[in-house]
Amino acid sequence: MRIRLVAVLGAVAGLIASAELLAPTYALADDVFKVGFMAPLSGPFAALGDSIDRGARLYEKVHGNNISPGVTIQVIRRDDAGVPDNTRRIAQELIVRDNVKVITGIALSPQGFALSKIATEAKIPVVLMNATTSSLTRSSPYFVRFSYTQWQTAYPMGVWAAKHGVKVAASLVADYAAGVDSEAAFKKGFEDNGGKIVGADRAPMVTTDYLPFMERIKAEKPEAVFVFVNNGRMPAVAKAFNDAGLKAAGVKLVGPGDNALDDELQTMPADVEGFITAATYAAGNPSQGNRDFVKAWKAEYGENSLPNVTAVSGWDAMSAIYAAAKELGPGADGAAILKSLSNWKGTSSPRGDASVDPQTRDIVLPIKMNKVEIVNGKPANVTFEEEAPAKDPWKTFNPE
Amino acid sequence: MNVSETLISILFTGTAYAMVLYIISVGLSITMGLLGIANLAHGAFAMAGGYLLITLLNRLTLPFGLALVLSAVIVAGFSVVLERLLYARVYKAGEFDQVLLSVGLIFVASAIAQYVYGPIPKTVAVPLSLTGNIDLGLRTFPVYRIFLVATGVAIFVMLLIVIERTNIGMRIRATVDNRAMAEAIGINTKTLFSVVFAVGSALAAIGGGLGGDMIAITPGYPLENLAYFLIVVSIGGLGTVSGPFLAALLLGIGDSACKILVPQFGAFFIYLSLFGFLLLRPGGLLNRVQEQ
Repeated sequence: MRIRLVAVLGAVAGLIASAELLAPTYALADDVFKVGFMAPLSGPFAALGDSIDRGARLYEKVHGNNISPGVTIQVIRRDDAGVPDNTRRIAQELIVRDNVKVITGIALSPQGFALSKIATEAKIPVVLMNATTSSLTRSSPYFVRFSYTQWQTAYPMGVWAAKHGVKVAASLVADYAAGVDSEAAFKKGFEDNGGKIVGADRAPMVTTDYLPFMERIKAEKPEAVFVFVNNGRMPAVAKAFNDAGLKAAGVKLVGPGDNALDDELQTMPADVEGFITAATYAAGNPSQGNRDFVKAWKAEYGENSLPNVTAVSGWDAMSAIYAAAKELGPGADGAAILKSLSNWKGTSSPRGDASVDPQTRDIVLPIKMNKVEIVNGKPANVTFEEEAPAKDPWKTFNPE
Repeated sequence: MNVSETLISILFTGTAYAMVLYIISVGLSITMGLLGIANLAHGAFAMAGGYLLITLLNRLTLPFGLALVLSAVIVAGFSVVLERLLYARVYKAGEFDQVLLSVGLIFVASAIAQYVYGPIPKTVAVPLSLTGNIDLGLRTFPVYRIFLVATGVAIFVMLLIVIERTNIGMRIRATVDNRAMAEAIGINTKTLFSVVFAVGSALAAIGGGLGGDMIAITPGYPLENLAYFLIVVSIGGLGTVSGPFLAALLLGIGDSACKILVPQFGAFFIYLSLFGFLLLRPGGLLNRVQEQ
């Protein structure tokens, strides 16, 4: 009995060993350009992660065949649930165990910061598909951002408001890093152009009832209210804005495009009509690059589905990675890939004339001024003004 | 803004929010007081009510009132099944097992909600007759919030009448006071438990649906709002319908007052008041459950 067991174990071991030795290595490490993709696919930020993932996957599907023969790109997907500790651990696994050449995804700024040391040490470029804190690209020389920063949207919003007859404004933001960033950016843009901020309230992220805040803001009699709240709260904010009588009094509701994402806008109530945003993307953008993108999106995800700015970031980032893989091949080293990514020019990006600034490794984008109007019975973004491509203003005000 | 305007703003905004909290939490107070189980998954029934209401309104385009009642009935029926199958097993098992079970239920409910409805928060399409503002002389008020206050008060009065003046209310009060004695005199506590559980869950579903405007319906709903429901119940005391009403009012109005007057501290008020109350009256305001 004993002997039989040993014999069986020995045979199995032998089989495994011979399989290792004899079988051709079906995926020679050098033939495959591996990309590690981490995003919150579960948990409170799942909507964000899902959107980025869809954009990236759509690119892989549509352009997957555009690579040189003999080179395959393999995207390894992992769910980090939006937790920075997970990001660190998964990144280590991807780098050490899976030998990825590039890491991408990264939905939240704290996750990016958690990754900076690892990326620098391992010399692996990280392509940020969301993570909007301006200083993030400075935390590691291997970070390249393809999404946008809060200053790129909130600052032009402040400038626009001041230049369009708003002399007095109040702001209401969610009390977390992105909200505070946004508040500071709006304030600078608005005050630098002659405006006056009369109230700056920060609501806790758990807030669901914004009417008390709007009542307070009403007492200060602003001509415009700048809002930036966390995911899912915009309908409550818009409703409170109306209920407090601010809309009826002719006060403008303004904010960055984050709270008027094209796909979420469809299911929002009509209260959100009239909301003016400075955004980096609108699904209705008439450029050819965008029309092709939206068409492919609807074909893949359903006729009633719409992409938003995070999905487009996923798409653009993946296109840059594919371009680098095509140009440099799977044997490329980190520095060369980084250089290729930092000099990316999105000739047919759905966002228009987008590119990466090699100095700061951050995205340069044209900003669109959108207004929410009811189109075919549902709220939608209508672009009424477009600015020239601009770099992140925060870096201009805070040189290294 | 002068004093009277501020006062009206505070009272009004606070009361509407308080009513939503009350409608959801009163079921929890009764079940915790009557059944003696720590059902942390109560928020899951509110979430289910919210999602069902949205589905019934959008897919089947039913009128608002009918959809609300229907979603409450469906959730109540489902909760009875859960009660018989799962909760009944842990009645005598101690708080730890009950907490584990209910937290497990929260995770399952959230995962199902995410799978069926996706992670984007959903809003309830309030009927047109209830939208807009109404001018009551001093200032305008949103109609829907007035409706919420009216509904909350109506439910409170109804529950009070049932508990204090009907036969079944008498049995419930008897069972809450002393379960063993109640069984001894022939009250069928098992059926009573199921009925009360069903009504509590139905109320949660109604609260979740009506409050969908203010408390967004997302898969994370049961966990995100658990603290508020438990706070209302702890401050209000277990086993009564009036306790949570007072507690919800105090919390809602206090929370509004802080947000309007000192927004930097708005978030702390709820927790500070919780500490204060429980230090003074650990049993809550109007506690009915005796130490056994």
